[in-house]
Amino acid sequence: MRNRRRRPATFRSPQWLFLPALVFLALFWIAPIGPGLLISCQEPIPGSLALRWVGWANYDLLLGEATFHHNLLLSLYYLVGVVCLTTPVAYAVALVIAGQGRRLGALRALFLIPWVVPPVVSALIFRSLADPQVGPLTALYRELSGNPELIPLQSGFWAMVNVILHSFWRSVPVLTLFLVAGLTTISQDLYEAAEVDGATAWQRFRTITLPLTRSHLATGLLLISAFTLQDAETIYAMTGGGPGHDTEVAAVRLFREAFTNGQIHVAAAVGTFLLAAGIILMVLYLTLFRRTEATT
Amino acid sequence: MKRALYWVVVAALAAFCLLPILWGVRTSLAPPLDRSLVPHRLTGEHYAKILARADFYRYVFNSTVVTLGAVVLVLPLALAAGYALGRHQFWGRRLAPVMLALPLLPAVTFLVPIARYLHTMGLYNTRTALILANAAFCLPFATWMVWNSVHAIPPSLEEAAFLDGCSRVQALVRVVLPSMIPGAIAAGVFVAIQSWSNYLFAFALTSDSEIRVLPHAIVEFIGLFSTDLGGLTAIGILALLPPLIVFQILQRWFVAGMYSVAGK
Repeated sequence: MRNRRRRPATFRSPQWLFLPALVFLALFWIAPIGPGLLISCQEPIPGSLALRWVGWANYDLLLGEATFHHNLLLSLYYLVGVVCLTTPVAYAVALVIAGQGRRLGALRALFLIPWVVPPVVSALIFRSLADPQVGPLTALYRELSGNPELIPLQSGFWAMVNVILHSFWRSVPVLTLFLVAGLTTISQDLYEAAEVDGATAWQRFRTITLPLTRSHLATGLLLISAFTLQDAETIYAMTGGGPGHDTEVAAVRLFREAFTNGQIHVAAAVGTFLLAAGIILMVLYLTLFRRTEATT
Repeated sequence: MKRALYWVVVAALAAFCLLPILWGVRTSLAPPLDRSLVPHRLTGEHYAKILARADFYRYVFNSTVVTLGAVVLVLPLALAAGYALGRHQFWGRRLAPVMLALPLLPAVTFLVPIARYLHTMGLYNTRTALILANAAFCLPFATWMVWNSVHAIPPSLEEAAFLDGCSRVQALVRVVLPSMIPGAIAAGVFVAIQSWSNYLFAFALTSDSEIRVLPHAIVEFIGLFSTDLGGLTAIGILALLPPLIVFQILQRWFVAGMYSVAGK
């Protein structure tokens, strides 16, 4: 009531503006969860499209299977690899952009460009960068591995390295966005005071920049982690999950089972694992979101 | 000295962002198997080959329909929801963080049940299915962008219009809506770039090559012509041009919108 008197020109029933979006999202994101869980406890009846109840059988199958352990491990490598590479580079980019203030606004746009490239296209480009005939990354991988005959995408290890490098390249702009936003909230006085006290650049970074951008870093990293966890498309376009199963992270396994092998019940069980991981990330994110709201 | 070092860092980071794209352009213009970093001669043959394919135009058409469809579907929903959240205290505010976090859930998990749904609704293998999926994926972030831009509009603007004798709806349409345009542009660009780029939904929800979108076609081409890097990068660069052009033209609003969201 009080609100209405103060702001007479606004709608009395904002929920009617909010509901269409909410219903649409619920249909797409919430409604499929139940059926998805149900399918993961079923199996197809041979010779028909119907499914029958099998309880935990699909989960037992996955948990007892070496390939699935490998899938999960690769997902973990992928996640950790991307996060560890992205963080320092994104800080460097963010400090450069924030240091320029308004003078070089063009830099902001420039560093967003990797995000604009369709993932399938950038995966294709990284595939050609690791091409055995002409790829410049191939030369680098051969130097590092000490094997002059190396064909990167035919080697499980180097294929995974290439997959991680690609997502790292795509993730930098996203994290940079958050870090720049965080950096612009830090008062320049703090840095000047630190400089007067004789703090080195590293000390200034560790004691001022890092703590004061921590919540932005956390939000950005969670966004990247969520994307990396569910990323099937760039790996699918770059390596198809191969050689063998060597770049088959859990999301690619799900993708292959559902849409190539037609094993939707196995795919749904893999999906449950991904969903659980996604929810853990989301809870982390929500906790952080609330904390930042409380402090500002 | 310090300034020089600074510019070296800037140049290195710019190279990091741009070199892979330049490599793609190089490969699309180089004759096959030219191993040098800068090709000895340039050729348009790869582009000519792609542009001569009738199906290429079909993929572009399908991608355009899906992209525009998603933008047209998302914008009204995002504008309404973003406005409500930005202006009003109601239960939606408490629900909003959950809503905005939905895209953090692995979309790939939802595709199995959604594909089955769409099947029973007769929407499997249609462009409508792709429009719906892309719209649902982009809506939370688009809403967030609009919500932020609404914060920047003083409520007094509406009050003034109301005092001048406008009805609530008139105030909304004549005063609020125009001032939400920057936020709407940012959200629209976001939805367009995401929908144009999406492969996952296309692969999961369609199988007919008549309605195949460009990213889906590119992955099919990778499977068919894996050694023809020139042709593959040529179609890749062609697919990259529309989002890059849209981004260049509208970057003033889009970049501001993206940074404002990250600042929340």
